[in-house]
Amino acid sequence: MLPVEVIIDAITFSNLLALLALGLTLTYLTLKVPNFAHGDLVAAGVYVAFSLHKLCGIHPYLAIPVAFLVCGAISLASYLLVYRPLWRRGAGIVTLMIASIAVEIVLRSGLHIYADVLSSHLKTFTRGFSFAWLDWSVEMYGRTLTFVVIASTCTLMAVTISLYLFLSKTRFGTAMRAAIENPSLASSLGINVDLVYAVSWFLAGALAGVAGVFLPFRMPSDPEVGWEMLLRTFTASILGGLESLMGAILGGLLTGFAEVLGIYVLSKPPVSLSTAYRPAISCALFIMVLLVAPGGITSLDWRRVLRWRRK
Amino acid sequence: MVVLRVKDLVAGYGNLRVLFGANLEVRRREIVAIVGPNGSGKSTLLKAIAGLATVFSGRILFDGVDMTAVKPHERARMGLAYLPQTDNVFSRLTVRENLILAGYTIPKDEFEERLEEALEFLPRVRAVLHRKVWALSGGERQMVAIAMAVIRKPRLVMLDEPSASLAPKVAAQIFDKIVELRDELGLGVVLVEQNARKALEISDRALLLVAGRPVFWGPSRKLREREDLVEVYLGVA
Repeated sequence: MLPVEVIIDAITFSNLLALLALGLTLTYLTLKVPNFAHGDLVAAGVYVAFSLHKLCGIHPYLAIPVAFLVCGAISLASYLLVYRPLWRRGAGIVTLMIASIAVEIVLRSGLHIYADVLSSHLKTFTRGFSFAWLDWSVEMYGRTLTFVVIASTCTLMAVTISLYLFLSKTRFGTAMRAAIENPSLASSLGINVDLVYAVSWFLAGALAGVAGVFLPFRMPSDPEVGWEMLLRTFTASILGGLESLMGAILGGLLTGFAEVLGIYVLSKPPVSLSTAYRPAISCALFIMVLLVAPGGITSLDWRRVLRWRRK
Repeated sequence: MVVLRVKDLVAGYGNLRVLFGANLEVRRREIVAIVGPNGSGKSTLLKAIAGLATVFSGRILFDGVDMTAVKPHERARMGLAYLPQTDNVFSRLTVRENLILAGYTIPKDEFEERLEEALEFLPRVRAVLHRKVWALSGGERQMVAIAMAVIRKPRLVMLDEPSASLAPKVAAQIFDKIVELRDELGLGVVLVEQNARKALEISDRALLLVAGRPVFWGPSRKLREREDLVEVYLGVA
């Protein structure tokens, strides 16, 4: 029997991965580039919340709107200044992918420099910090819950519902789906594909920023935290099919649960695996998905799978 | 009244030139057919007019306005409708969503009225309005594509191989609708078609392209009479 605390921890971690995978999938849908810089937008979100708390005394939860805007703006800038010009010149996936690695290095280096400056200015630790001590507690069904699990769950639910309504009920959302499916046709209908792509990149960064605010409540964070989250985000996104937004959310939830519950089980006897190997679970899942279902869970013919199970 | 005029157009993709000095003119209430063997640059000409191919030199005038450097989505707003050869509808969306997108530039209060007009013009589309496009037959998809053009009340419709992969009976229905675009709605139509016999039959004027160069431009009737060109380049005996 799994302890409730482990399940609660899995929920929090899965929520963050779902937010990240959603953003990564959004950018992939536009330019078909796996964006290696996506993880650093989480780290940027972490530092927005940290800076506002240390410099202005604002509680990290109240920094969510600022992180949303700042990280969205960074992502949009990377699209407008790097990816769009390359794409317009006919750059292929390899060029765009290498460009995203370059952007990743620049962003991560920038965060390291910023953390150093902040450290000398505040005379405090800017690496390996946590917001856990700032979190609120909520009593529910005789148990004490940390507020981050409630906040991240509500955020993910709100994002999922808003995204569904936006994409299916609004004209701009429908235009977004159309521009993603067939940009030339969308253009020939008078849809500004450039604007649609720019909005997608902004949203992707903004969601990563929000995940970044929650992250230090769950684990110690530093400028490397985005890089650490990147492979897990790719796993979640690919598990979700890479081209499905709802699949990305599902992929994020499954990857998060697999990692937290997996390491809990494996760290117990008889395996007694060190928890330091925890990220290996995502790596193993990543390889398994690529081998067994490269199109992700949304590409599987579930009726066939169920028929095979019954046999 | 001339809707579209193309002057000495050299166009292609990236650095590759496919079309060399094409000239074209389309009036209101006129069908202009662009015919020629495979790879002669017919589709490239349409794409260049729609703003989806690279223009190296030459001019494209729409209603007398030079739109050579205008962005594709702005050309659409000017009254140009382009139906590509493949992927001319959004497969993952419903027919109604496709039509909503086609009317993207139309004020919201006008949309329902325009939709009703388009459905009256193409009654077959009404029956499949709430179905996903991927579940439709080839003929139904073409009808939806035409409805998407009609809803925008364009002044010029460009169709790239609308009868491709369709059964002869369904293709005939599509050609009937193209004629109605001209006769009932008074639109200018540019038609790229592999079925040269049919294209020359329903069109008023024709452009014959061979290896990216114009070989004939004039009344379709006259091209039909040019046995030397028709037999060699169009395979129509």
